[in-house]
Amino acid sequence: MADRVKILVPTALRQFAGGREEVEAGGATVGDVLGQLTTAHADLKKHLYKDNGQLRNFVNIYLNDEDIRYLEKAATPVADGDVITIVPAIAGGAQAVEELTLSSEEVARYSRH
Amino acid sequence: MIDLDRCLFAIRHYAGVLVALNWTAEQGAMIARHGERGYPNEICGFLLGTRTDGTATVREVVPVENHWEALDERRRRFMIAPEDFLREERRAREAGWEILGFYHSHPDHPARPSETDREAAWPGYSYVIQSVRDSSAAEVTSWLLKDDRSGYDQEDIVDCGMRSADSASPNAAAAGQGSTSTRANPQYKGEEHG
Repeated sequence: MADRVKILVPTALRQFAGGREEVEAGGATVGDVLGQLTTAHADLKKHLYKDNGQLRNFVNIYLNDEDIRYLEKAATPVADGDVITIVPAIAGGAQAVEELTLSSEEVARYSRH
Repeated sequence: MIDLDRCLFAIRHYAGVLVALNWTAEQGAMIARHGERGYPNEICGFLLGTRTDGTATVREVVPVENHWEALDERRRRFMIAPEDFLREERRAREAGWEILGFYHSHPDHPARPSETDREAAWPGYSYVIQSVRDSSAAEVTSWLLKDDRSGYDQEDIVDCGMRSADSASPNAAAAGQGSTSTRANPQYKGEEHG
């Protein structure tokens, strides 16, 4: 259980984190630490999480220098001194008339759970 | 074909204050040509620039590769690689600029944000959408995600006839004030209407 994990807040979200570039939080996993971040800064939540509580698809989360999708995603354990970096995944696109949401394959590909 | 003499001038309404996004004809043409070159796939890139006293000026348009993983889906999906994002953030910072926003194309599709766009959008950035129909650049629009993510505020685009040499001049903002329509655009929720 770590209590000194640094979170680097991307420029786009600093306005929702009191203007801060860095926030320190604790927890056992990446998911815990980000949960503390959004508890402390509630306006961040909708930009990091979907309504169902999962991390949004187009958010890159790095623990130190590794993308958590190649680790254990939100369940990745953290230690004191670790740095979590949030990097926007800039994406989008026109959609076909019959599509309303990402396909289940896209969700699997881009999810963090 | 687009009119290369036309200057695209996007006006941002931010917290009730009229904010101008200056954009030269050459910069608008770069985006249109990128869209045409990439057709029928979506193309994407960065808008780097500066904001001074509520006036935003595009200093550089940076085309990048569409890194959406599935090649056969790039006709309707785009993604900017995190490496490109971090590089442009660093370059902008080193130049004393910032990332103003991003552009991407909609091949054979209106220049309006889709649900996919809204799902993936980040607050605080201008999202420019270039429609490309049958290999030719069509309409171009610019959008800001609302803070509650419920939809977008559209940025007005107004012809102003500026050239790149004039973009930093004191006359730029004055020209914008004089020629800009300040009507509020209807709130656009990013839903397709077919």
